[in-house]
Amino acid sequence: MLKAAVADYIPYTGEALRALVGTYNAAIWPLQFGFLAALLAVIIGTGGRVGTLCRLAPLVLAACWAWCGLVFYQRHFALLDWSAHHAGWLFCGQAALLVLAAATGTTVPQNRITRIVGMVVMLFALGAVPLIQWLSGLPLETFALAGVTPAATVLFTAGWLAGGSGRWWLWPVPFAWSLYGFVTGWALGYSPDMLPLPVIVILLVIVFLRRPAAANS
Amino acid sequence: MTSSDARLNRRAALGRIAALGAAAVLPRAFAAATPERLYRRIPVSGEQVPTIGMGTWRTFNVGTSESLIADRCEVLARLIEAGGTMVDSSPMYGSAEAVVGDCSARNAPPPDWFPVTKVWTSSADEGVKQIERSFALWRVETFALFQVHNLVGWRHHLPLLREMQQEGRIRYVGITTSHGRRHDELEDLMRSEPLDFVQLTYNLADRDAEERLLPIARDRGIAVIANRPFRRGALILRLAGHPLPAWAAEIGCDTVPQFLLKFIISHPDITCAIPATSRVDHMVENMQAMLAPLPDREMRGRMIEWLEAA
Repeated sequence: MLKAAVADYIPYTGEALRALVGTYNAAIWPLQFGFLAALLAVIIGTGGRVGTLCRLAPLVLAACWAWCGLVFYQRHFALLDWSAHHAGWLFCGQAALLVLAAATGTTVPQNRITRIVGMVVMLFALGAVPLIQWLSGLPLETFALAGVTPAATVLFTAGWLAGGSGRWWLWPVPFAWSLYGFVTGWALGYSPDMLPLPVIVILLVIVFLRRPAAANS
Repeated sequence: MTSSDARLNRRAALGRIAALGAAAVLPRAFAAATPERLYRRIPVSGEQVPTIGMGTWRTFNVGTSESLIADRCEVLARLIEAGGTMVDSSPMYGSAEAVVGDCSARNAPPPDWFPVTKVWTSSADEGVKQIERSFALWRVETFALFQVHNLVGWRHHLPLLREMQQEGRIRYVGITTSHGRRHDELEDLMRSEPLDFVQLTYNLADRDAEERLLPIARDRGIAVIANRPFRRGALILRLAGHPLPAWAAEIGCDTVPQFLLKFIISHPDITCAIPATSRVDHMVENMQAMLAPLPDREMRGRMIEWLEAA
């Protein structure tokens, strides 16, 4: 009953959302590969501690957030839901914060455990999220991919933040979106949007628990 | 066939509740040996409208997906085929207006096509733009009914809509609410503003409107559209697994949705109900509820008891 009550306030169905992602993917094809390659470079840079790639990481993520805000939300999703404009500006705001993070340039001390966990989450967002959608029976053209759709982008960013590459003020927007995504995904039966919340909660707990060690390292 | 007065006084209406069903609706023969389709008069004009129309909340908001648009066009085609003419939408419903406009263009709407939409913004200037956008999206030159959605910005919009009514671009003006919200304010407006239509939530489980709003509509000659006839499917889910009582067959009900719809349109002060669906089979099923006979007062009581026992 609660699920139906929540769904009552969402102006579209899971079917319409999947179709929208399909139309969107077709419209931006093959840009998905460019974003995926850029995010792969972020993982390589973080894992190998490649200086240039590490410094570019927040700019790459800023580009992904800005793309999701301006193209996914404002141009495509707003067709289904007027509130997409607000979500779009929220994503642009996060993009601006990531640019600020890149501009300030300082690196946060890294903890080995959180860095590994962060890497796993980034790899999960890049590779396992499409796999889960495939196993769920979603058609290939409707896959929500990191870099170009919100859920996987939020997830990837959370992994990067947990790895010690970010600041605390970069967490609120991904966390807020993950709450929203979980509720709407659950009400609509749309699994990709439900993934970030549990992962982010676990990441935040790990980051919090490892903080003293990180401060002493 | 009953000759229904445009405006009913309270006593006459109470008499009708007693007689109910066929006395309050206007059956129109459309084929030999088939049950008659049921129509209601719009009090302010006497124009007849089918007692079942179609809502579009969520169901027609499918973006630009060709396959989903084609599915929805099929749903609309079934509505028209079964004698339906009224389709209700809103700018709040995402792409629904555009999809309805596309589908109505493909389906060649009937001569008595009854397009209904709303204005939904607190800004007067944005309201003007939104109204013009609705004309373009629906691809119509005249709206049968334009409503103020959920009473938002009604002080700006009602005068504008009346102006457009004078110009002939809108035939009727109305105001809407849903989920049983803001009934006090709606009641004030029904008493103080010259409204042709109101839209409110009325169904077998949500009957608050019977107390005050429907009597006011009757007294002031306001047509009433009932939204959320199934509580967006929750009533159907609740009643799933409960076989319909044997006496439901007396009013030609085979399914729960038909049972729920017949309850709504058998109220003499309800002009029509607007169930929303994305499925062709459900549309066909819904439109069956538009066929005579309807429950009388005694049976309506039994319907309520059956719901409460379920």
